Amino acid sequence: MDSLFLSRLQFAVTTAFHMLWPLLSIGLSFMMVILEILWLKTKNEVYYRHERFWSKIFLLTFGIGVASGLVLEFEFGTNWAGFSQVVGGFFGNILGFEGSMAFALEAAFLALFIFGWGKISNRAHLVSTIMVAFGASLSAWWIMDANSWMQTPTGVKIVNGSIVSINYLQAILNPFATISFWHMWIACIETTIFFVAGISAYYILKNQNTEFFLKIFKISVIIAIFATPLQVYLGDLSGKAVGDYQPATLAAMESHWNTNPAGTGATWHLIAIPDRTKEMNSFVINMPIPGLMSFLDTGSFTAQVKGLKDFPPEDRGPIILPFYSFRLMVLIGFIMVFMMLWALWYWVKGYLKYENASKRKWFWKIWYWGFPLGFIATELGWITREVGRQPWIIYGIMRTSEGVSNLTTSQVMVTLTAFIATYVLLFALFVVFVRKIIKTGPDLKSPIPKLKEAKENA
Amino acid sequence: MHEFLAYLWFFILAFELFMYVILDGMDLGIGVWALFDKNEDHTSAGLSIISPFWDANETWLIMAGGILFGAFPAVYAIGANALYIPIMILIFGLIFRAVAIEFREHSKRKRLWDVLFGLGSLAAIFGQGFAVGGLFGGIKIGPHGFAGSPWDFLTPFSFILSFGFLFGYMMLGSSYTVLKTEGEFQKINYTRVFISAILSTILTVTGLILLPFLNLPEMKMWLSSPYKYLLATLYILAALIISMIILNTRAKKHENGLYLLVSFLFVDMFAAGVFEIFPYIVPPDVKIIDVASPDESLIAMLIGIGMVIPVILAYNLYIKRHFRGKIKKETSYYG
Ligand code: HDD
Ligand code: HEM
Ligand code: HEM
Repeated sequence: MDSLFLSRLQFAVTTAFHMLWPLLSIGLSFMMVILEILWLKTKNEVYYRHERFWSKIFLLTFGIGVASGLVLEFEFGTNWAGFSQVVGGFFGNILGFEGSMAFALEAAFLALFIFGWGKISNRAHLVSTIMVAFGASLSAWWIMDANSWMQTPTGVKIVNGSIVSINYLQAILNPFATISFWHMWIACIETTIFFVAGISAYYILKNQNTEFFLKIFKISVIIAIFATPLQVYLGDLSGKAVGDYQPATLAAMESHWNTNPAGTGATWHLIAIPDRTKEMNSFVINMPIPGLMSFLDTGSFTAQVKGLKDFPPEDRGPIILPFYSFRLMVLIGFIMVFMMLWALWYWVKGYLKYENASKRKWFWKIWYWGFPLGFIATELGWITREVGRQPWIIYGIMRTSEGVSNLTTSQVMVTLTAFIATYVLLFALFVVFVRKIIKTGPDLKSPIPKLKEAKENA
Repeated sequence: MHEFLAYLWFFILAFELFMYVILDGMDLGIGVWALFDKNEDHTSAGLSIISPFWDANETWLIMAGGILFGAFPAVYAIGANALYIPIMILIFGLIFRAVAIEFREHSKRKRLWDVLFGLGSLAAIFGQGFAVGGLFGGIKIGPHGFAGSPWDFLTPFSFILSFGFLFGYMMLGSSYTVLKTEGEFQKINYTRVFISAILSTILTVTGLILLPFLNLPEMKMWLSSPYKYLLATLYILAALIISMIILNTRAKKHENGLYLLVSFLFVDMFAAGVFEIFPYIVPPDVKIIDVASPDESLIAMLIGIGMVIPVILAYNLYIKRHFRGKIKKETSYYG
């Protein structure tokens, strides 16, 4: 094991861990804006109670998100000095934009969001909540932009290891930027509503505060009506973008060795076992729809899809990992659509009414177990994207092995071990405390802030 | 033009770092003192002071990191590579500090989290001290980036500097606590300011005595700096301020004045540090001008970051206004 391998592993562990928390903090902050607006509009206190309840979980995730995000920002320098030195003039700026436009906003208004209840006017509080949510989503935009630029590095001219000119517009609006941002943002929303709905299902199964949680369950379902199909669509667009700009990645994601001759379609493998030395799949199960791969990746049933053999072996990344993580993510995407449709059907049938809710045990059990789906899909999506990009750290420009810092193996070994130990601990504690919050249940009694404008401090 | 932009960004970077030091330094100082609290309520009071703000304060460090990365990529890359160990100590310190603040709310075993909060703060301070000490001590650069050993940062000088950070932050934290509390805890904190001021003085005197033996890199920079006289003035001023702080903690009258004096001390020492290295960025031989990004980046950053900074300051002031005055006991996290 060399320091390159260990640095990659460390980056993978730390980003994969960090990724869990923004999912919820972006999604929950968005949810809290909706709840606060509903409360101010309808004056129904149930929305206020919900906002306060979910904000506890939000705060926990936020704390871990901040702590683990800081790691990543420094890791570019500590572990990827070669990369950072070359691209800092653009990539570093984007991280700087993220810090000053997004993090600073979110972190500052968080103080009013948490401590301002009843002390500032309702309008000022709503503005704070919106700023927190806006800051969170804006940070997602900038970080996705930075990462997308690594995937499709346009607009920046690099000669002999240094940037000679930058076309900012082209670089910021690189081909992956917009589509990846929306796919990621919807991933946050989807993950959050399935998480919220899963916890609600838990209460409904236990017959605790059923009415209260049916409310938020229905709100989640309404959001899911838009989010789940949209995510399938955005995922499809992402796949086409990968085909256009990273054909070698697409070939790996599909375990597709031979370019299909013009006029015939490529078939889509459901399962494949690739064999690198023989340059073929030693085992496949295909989808019985001719030309499906061509269709999914280009929109036409007979279009050519470049095979792995068209790329020199040193430019081919891993195959199995992107192939299966991609398929599992897609599977989860469809499961989420079906769960949404199921809930919709039950709603129309009146099974989601308070009187009937306790009868549909299986429905609630499945929704309960659906709570981690979004997290899993997101992690799988990132594995597809990051592993699929290999062996490049900046696609087509710099290899991962050229980007690494000069570190000793033991240096990285020690920190990697420390990160794994710390993160396992934090994850376990998070689970313990969230269970405690759930066991305690929502606070339905404490006085609510006056709905009139609070004058004292405004 | 390039020179102007490069220096401008150097000073903006210094400003961001200063904001971090003065704001989060206070949080870290309060964290260290929490280790010495015998009374649970006192730690809670300390936490009430910082819990609305520690995250916003830490953001200054993140922004400074982004600016360094964007404006001086080679320094960010080679510096972070060379200072891997202190930076990791800083990171782990900040992780534990952050989660201790958040998790404490939900836990019955408060003392455990208080200790973690204190140790995290302590680690973060030493990480910073060793990182800055390592940077001032000089970094070996070869044709492929960093060419030294991972332990280069560990010098007698960086030890002294780390303790300087520690005592300074302790002074900052306790003087702010004096401002925000009343009664017994306030009294304790007057004493704490006194203790940290005395410790700083002892450290400085020890440093001066050891001067001939340590071969301090700072000494060389200092003697060769074009700003020798400015630096001498700043150091004399620092000595004056410290004595005023010590007198003030005995008089126990001017709460605002005390915090202001400590802040002044920080401005003074920070300015001295900046002018010691200017126009270099990594002493002894990397100049600011040699490692700045192309003009296009520096200008884009002026739009995306430089112009945002006044806005950040404005809304932070707006928010701070709501938290004026002494903290009250019931100001708990979810209260
Ligand atoms: C809730 C999470 C979630 C769900 C349900 C889906 N995805 Fe996804 N996917 C992500 C979460 C995600 C992600 C984590 O957000 C990724 C990683 C990077 C990115 O931009 O989005 C991603 C990346 C990603 C990529 C880009 C891979 C690359 O850039 O190399 C493709 C082609 C798809 N997805 C395709 C799909 C399809 C066809 C889906 C639906 C059926 C789908 N995703 C559902
Ligand atoms: C948050 C979700 C993310 C996950 C789960 C993730 C996962 C991974 C994984 C598994 C690797 C190792 C790939 C390999 O070496 O085979 C990796 C590498 C890397 N990723 Fe990501 N990534 C994420 C987000 C990002 C983002 C947003 C960026 C940039 C802003 C980024 C930049 C990098 C860099 C610099 C490397 C190191 C070089 C490399 O190994 O390619 N990643 N990531
Ligand atoms: C690998 C690249 C990444 C880096 C370098 C990074 C950096 C950071 C840093 C430094 C923080 C702490 C900021 C604070 O103190 O407020 C943070 C938190 C955060 N990050 Fe990341 N991040 C990365 C990936 C991502 C991705 C992919 C997303 C979302 C799509 C994201 C969204 C957030 C959000 C919303 C926060 C605020 C804290 C929270 O809500 O948990 N980050 N990140």
